[in-house]
Amino acid sequence: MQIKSSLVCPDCGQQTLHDLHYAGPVLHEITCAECGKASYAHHHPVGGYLLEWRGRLLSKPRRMYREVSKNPIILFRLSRRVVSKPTRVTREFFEVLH
Amino acid sequence: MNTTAAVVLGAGNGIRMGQAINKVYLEIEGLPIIVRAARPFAQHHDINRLVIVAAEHELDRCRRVFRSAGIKVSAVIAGGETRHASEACALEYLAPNIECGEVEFVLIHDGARPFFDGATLNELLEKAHYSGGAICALPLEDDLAHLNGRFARPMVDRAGFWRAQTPQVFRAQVLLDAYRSAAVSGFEGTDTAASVERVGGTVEVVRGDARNIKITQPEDLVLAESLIGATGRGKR
Repeated sequence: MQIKSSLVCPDCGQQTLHDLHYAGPVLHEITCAECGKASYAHHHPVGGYLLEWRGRLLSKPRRMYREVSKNPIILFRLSRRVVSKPTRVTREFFEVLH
Repeated sequence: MNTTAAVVLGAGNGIRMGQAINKVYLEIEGLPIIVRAARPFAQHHDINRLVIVAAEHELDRCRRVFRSAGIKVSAVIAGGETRHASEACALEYLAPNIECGEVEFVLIHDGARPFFDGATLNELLEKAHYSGGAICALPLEDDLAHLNGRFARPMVDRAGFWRAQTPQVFRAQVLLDAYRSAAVSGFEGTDTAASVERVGGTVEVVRGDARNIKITQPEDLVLAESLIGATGRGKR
């Protein structure tokens, strides 16, 4: 995924458009659209993704608890989410690989 | 009881770049920067109101991100073209409550500072109570050079120079008067404290936190990613 945002480029010395490249949910590279200077949040997006995924896995029970206590109706939709989760995770992982 | 309104500024510069996403809505580990910035105030027992200032065309997006993060805000209002103008919009929005004494203090925070952890908030509020204003700041560690053409002359003694951060807290009526006076004379301060000092207000300093960075350059985003990793990956 790629999104654009305006940041101050230290090389151009002014606010310019930047392309933010994400590998799945992990910010991988930021490139100035004017001068092409790149900054790297994660040189190895797969490693970054796995680390991020581990964090998500560990915080899942807490997040689910919070979500359900706010809106118990979510429980009825849970089965669909559980069934589709492997597909969503696989799709996300292949996005990171490419 | 002192009532304090927190104002988080998110109508910043990024909005004028057409197809680009305002940087305050970029996510760090799944949570938008502005939500991270506002969170300490939503959770603090001495903050009674939380006002978010957004660009006019981003009002819906702003409401949406706070709703989905489960953070209750008192209002999302439209800001102006500059930081100063956005602060003025927030103060005019709060003016009826300030004038009747319902809001005694106003806290201003940059929506692009996602790492203020709230640790100095009590000290800031206390100092603002006694002095009328208090800001977070850090002593300068780099030398300062005054640039004369391409020559650095003279070098400036850094002793006594601090880098101002946010949050900044002020007595509400003083702040409102300062901004109304600035509007009459056409003054535009670079930060909130500048407008208060201009009308003779005093501002105390509370030592800030080096991690309370403002996301401005790409490297700040890179640093933000690693700070999140260091302070608890996956904490949303």
